[in-house]
Amino acid sequence: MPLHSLTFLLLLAAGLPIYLQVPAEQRGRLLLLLSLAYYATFRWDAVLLLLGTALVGYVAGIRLDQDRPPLHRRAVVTLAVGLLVTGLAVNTSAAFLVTAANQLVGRDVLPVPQVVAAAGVSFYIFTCLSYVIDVYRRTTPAEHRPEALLLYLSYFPKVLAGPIVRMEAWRASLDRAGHLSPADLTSGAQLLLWGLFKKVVVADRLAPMVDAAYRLPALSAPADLLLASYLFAFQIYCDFSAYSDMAVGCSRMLGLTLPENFQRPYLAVSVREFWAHRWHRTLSAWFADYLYRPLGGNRRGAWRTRWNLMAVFALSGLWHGAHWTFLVWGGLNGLYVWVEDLLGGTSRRTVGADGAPWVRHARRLVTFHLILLSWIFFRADTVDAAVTILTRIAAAGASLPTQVWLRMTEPAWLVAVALIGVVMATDILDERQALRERTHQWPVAVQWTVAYGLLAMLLVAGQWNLTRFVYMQF
Amino acid sequence: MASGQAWQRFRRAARRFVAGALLSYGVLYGLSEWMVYRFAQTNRFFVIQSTPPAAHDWILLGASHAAALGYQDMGARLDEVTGLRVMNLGVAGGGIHVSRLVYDYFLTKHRTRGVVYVADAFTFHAAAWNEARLQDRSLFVRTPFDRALLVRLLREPSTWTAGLAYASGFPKINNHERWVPDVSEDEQTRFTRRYRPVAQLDEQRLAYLYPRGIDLGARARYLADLDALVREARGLGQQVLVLKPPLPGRIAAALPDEDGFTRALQAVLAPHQVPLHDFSGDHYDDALFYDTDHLNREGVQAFFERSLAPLLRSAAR
Repeated sequence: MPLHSLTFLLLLAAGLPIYLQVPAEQRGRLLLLLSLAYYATFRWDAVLLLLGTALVGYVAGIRLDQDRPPLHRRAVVTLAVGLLVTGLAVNTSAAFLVTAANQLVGRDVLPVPQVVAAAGVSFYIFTCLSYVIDVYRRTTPAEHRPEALLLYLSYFPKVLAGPIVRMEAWRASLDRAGHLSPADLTSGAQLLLWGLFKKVVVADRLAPMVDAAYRLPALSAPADLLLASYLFAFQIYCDFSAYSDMAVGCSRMLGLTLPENFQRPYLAVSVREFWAHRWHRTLSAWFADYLYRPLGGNRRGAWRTRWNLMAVFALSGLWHGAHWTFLVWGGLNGLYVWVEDLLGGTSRRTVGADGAPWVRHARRLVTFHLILLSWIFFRADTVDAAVTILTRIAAAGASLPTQVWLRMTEPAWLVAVALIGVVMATDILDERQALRERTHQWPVAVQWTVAYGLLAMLLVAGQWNLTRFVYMQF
Repeated sequence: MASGQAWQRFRRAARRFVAGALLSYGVLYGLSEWMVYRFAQTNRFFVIQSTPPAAHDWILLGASHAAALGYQDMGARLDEVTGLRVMNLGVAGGGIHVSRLVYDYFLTKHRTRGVVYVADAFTFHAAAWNEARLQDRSLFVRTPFDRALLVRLLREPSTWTAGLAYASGFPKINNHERWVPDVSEDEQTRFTRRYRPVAQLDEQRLAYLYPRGIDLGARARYLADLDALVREARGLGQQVLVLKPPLPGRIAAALPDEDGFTRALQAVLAPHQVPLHDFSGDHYDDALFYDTDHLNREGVQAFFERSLAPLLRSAAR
């Protein structure tokens, strides 16, 4: 029952008035029950992994909270982190690791396990890791109520694809949960609606076009491969940001605040800005706090900084699953940031605020295309397939623009481009002035007309075949 | 106090918003219903509803092998060669559950003297062609709203969710092929082709038709449903003919447990004194099929002349 299923939306609409009647102090328990039931609808046995993760986090948290010698605390945190990372690796990378080991020794020593990763496992294990490390660092107290920790990990809007919330922020959010206002409900519903539109109308319309071209790259026309690569950049953006919007919107309706994960990523003026401030911000912050800085961050000289960056990007690639395509994707992005640094830094502050408009636009264009290039590796089934896609596009030569133009005149492509235009226009407006502030200034009639328009689009043009969110598999 | 007033205002606004949303939904519903009348063509429920009430000599029920007998102008051709009034109600991928629904709905509008059931063995072995097919919203995207059909859908647990979807009108509102003609690709482009057999395609086709292989439990259940349909038809004084369609020899030979199915089918029909006309063993050349197992235009005409027309004429006497 994904967030964009009609069943979920109907249950939310029907359950919300009941939820509002429940005393604020009882809402946590209700949310926990709903969260576990929700997660079980995907695979009931995966709940055991979720409970196991919570158990490791709980026990480690209690132990780390006690006044023990540093060596003991270090041993506890090492063990807990080891267990959690092993759980993650077994779930997402067992087949890859065994295959790689077999290839290394040259024969099939071990049978390749067929593990189907539990939905959202990378997200809640990373959440649990942040909690354990924060307790170890004493930046947050341990949670002594097991049910509270379990809710923190399993909270249904975020369990499948984030955002990754830190315990401190979560506690603050829970404390405010009792003060739900009509404005929260309205803005939450607006965000939920916008997320639904991006997923059901845009992303799921683009997905089959991308799939068709990428299925057999050697047989697809270069123009289709090129256009599909562009479409994928928007498909994954609309898909993933839709989930985040829906999770944040749904939470707001329940009185909880989740951090926003996206900030108009394709308007970034550098790859560094794209990753640090605009795309999957909670994961970037996680890597910065728990990997980049412990490795020394930028405090140990230029080359060490670059090496640390490369390690972070490589690992963030592997976070999506142990696969060469993700590794190349991560490495490529690390390389971009590395090169940007060598070229003299293109931080958001220097370019975004002070650069001439045409320079900013040119940088945006370059950044977008660099990211797009890396998405080709992210989306392709194998690195070879990605290379085939790139070589076929490059080899198409002078006939490519004509082929692309011919494709673009087909109705399906025109509709796709128009929908992408709507999303990007919204992002551009939002970049100039926060859309939330803007919409509040509109007359109610206009606000409602826009809402009805989105609802009508969902009904008329939505793809309700319930394609999974791309990031649910990670 | 202020907060209480804010909530009161919010509730009022929410009620108004929901009312506006329902109104908008109603408008979309109306528009999609208009589109159905404007563009529907071959949808069986539409055909039943839009044809003036009449007494037919025969109706044809079954899956795609029945539907293909009405492709393009073949329905009119059958009327012409038999001199009878025959309505084709075959639904691609529609097993006995779908046929039963179509038959029940047909009886709310029309009368018939006889029923021809084209029995495809594969439809008696998987829910994909029966219960699951009824959940397939494509079945209703061109179906105009009709209270009689809704009542029929809501009457049985197996069609209850399909009934709710039908009542909501959502399949029609969300029909992505609203501008596409209501004619299957088979009928539109393939029906006049001649097929050249490819062994790999034969294998794929059989795997598609029998997703769960031979399921004797399912077969018994669906044959019991056929038995109920035959009993009902006989009770209404209708003649019933059951036939197995012509198939290319290599496909007929490759069908799993076809003899077992034929025996089981005969056992169901015998108490009703309904004979089984098995044309699957007739020798039709590969050139008379447009794909692995469906007769093309030439093949359908040959089948009419050789077998079906004489059968219908003699049975009608």
